[in-house]
Amino acid sequence: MAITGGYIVINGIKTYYETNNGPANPQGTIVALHTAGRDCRQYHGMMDIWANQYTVVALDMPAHGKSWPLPGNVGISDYRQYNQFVWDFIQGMEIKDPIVIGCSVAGNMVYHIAATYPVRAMVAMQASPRIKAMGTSYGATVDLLDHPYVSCQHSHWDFSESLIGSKCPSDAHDFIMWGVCQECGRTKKADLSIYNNYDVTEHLKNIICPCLLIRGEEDWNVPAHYYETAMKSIVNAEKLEFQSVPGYGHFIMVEAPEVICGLIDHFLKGCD
Amino acid sequence: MTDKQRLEKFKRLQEMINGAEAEEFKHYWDGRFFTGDMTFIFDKTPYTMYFFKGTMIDVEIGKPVNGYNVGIKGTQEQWDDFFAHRNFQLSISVKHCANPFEELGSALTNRQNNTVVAQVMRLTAKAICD
Repeated sequence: MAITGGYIVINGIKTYYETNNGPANPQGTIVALHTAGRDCRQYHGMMDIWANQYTVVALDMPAHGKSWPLPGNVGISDYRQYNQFVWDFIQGMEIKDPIVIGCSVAGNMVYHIAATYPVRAMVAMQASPRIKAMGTSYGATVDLLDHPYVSCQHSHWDFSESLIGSKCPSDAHDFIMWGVCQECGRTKKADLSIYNNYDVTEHLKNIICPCLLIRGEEDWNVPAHYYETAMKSIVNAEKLEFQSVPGYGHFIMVEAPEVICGLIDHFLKGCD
Repeated sequence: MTDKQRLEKFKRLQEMINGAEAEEFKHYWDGRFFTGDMTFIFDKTPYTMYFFKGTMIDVEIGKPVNGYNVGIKGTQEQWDDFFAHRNFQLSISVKHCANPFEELGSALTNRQNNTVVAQVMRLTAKAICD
C-alpha cells in the first residue's frame, strides 16, 4: 500500500505523520525521527523498501513540515520536551512496540528516549549522546539562522552539501538540497539549540533495549569518535552494535535507504 | 611560493570564476548575489578580490580601503591543510578543527555569504594547487 499521511493532536499540537501502512512485524513498529530543520519525507525511501515488512510511522516534529509550531510560533528547544513529545506521540498513536530510529539531532535524542521510555529497540544514526558547547561564536551563528538579514536556506547551502557522501545517488542528493530550500530559520535555530550543549552520557546506563548505532563515514560533522562515549557508556543494553557505512554521509537514510534497512533488519532479527 | 607568484594564481582564479566556472559559481553557489570585496590572507599577505554580481573585476595584494568586508585569514600551514581536504565548513568549524581559519568581517556578513565564500575557497585551492 502507498504511503499515507494524517494528523493527530499531541499536547495541543496538530502533528503530521506518515506511514507506509506496512504489516505488523513481531520485531516491532518503526518510529522514525527526521534531522534538524527537515521533515518525515526523509523516510520515504525506507518506507517503500519496508512496505511489505515493517510498519513505519514517521512524524513531523512541531514547527517542521506540515506540523503546527508551539504557541508563539516556535519549535521545541529543550531536549527533554522534544523526547517527551515523541513519547506522547507514540502513546497517542497507540504504538505498543516502538523501535525508535533517528538521524542527526534526532539520533542524539534517541539515546535519551531509549534511556527514559520503554522502547523495543533504538537506532541512532549520525548521532552522539554528547555535543559540547562551542562558545559564544557558535551561539551567535545559530542565532543568525533566524536573523532578518540572513537567508537560512542560502547561508546553509554549502554546509548541507558538505555533509553528503560521495556515493549518494543524484536524486537523493537533489531531495536533500530541496530540504535546505524548504528550511525555516526559526525552526532550524530551535533544533540546533537542542543539538549543542547536549550531554546525556549519565543516562546511557539506563538503556536496556537493543541499540544499533550507525555512522556514514563521509560525514565530517559526526566523526567516528562521537560514538566512543556511547559504546563505552551503554553497559546494560540487551545488545549493542556499531556499524560504519563507507561512501555515505550525514543524511544516510535518504542517501542509502536500502543499506540502512538491511542493517536494521539484520540487527532486529539478531535480537530474537 | 612568493607573494607575487600567488597573485598570479589569483589571476588564474579570476579567469576561472569569470570563465569555465562562471555558470556554476553564479547560479549554484549564489555568486550572482555577491557584489563587494573578499579577502584571503596567507600569513601576513592579504589578497583582495573585487566582485560585481559574481564577476571578479580585479584582485590585488592589499587590504580593502574600507576594511574587511568578508574573507578568511590563515597561516600557510592552515591553507595547506585546507588545500588537502578542501572542506570549507570543516576549516572554519570551531567544533571540529583544532586550528580553524579566522573569518574576516562581521559575523553577519560571513553568515550571509557562507556559501559563496566556500566556493571561492575551493576554486582558490584548484587555482593554486591543481
